[in-house]
Amino acid sequence: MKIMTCFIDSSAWTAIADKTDENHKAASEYFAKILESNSKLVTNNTAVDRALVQIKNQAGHKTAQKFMAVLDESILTVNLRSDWLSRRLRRNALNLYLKSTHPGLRLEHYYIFETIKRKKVDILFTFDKELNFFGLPLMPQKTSEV
Amino acid sequence: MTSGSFIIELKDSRNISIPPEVTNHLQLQEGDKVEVVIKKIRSKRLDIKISKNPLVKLLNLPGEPSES
Repeated sequence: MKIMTCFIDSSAWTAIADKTDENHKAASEYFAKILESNSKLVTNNTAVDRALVQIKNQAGHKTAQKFMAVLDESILTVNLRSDWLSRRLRRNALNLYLKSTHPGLRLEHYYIFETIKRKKVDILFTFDKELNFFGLPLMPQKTSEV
Repeated sequence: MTSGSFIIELKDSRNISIPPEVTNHLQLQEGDKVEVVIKKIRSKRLDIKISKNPLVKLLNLPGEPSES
């Protein structure tokens, strides 16, 4: 049986960590589910940095500190893989971003795209609908869309 | 099933207790002959092996009011 590789973006990290986030319930339920499964969890340094800023702004510095400590421990124990974007990968992402005419896609999306390619990601754990562009299933699926 | 393995921490350097799950599973009784292979595990590796997935802690992060 193939082990699924799941990329967790900043919107998902923020929703998991911030109890006041509108997607907190959906994020926590889905996160608990993927922790129970055998999925390989992947993120990248730009997604973590962005999430950290959002969590600190929305949930306070103590929650942000705790979040970062858990992520550091998880990376150390290989329960989470963090893709580090090197100078070359950043250049790839910048080139794609500058060529793109898609109005909704930001530079951070192309950083995620670099990790998707390198880590052979199967699903995206995100609440950012713009990531639909990369053709992978976005989880968790909402029953009602606004 | 004819064999089982387990990881334990030595309480003294000369005695090892076989966990009941293993004796029950292998139906071991007094007088049975067993083969013992000892392999020292570096403590860091053992800690990693037996620790729970730390990501579970994210499900119970303390909340606090926004400071902005």
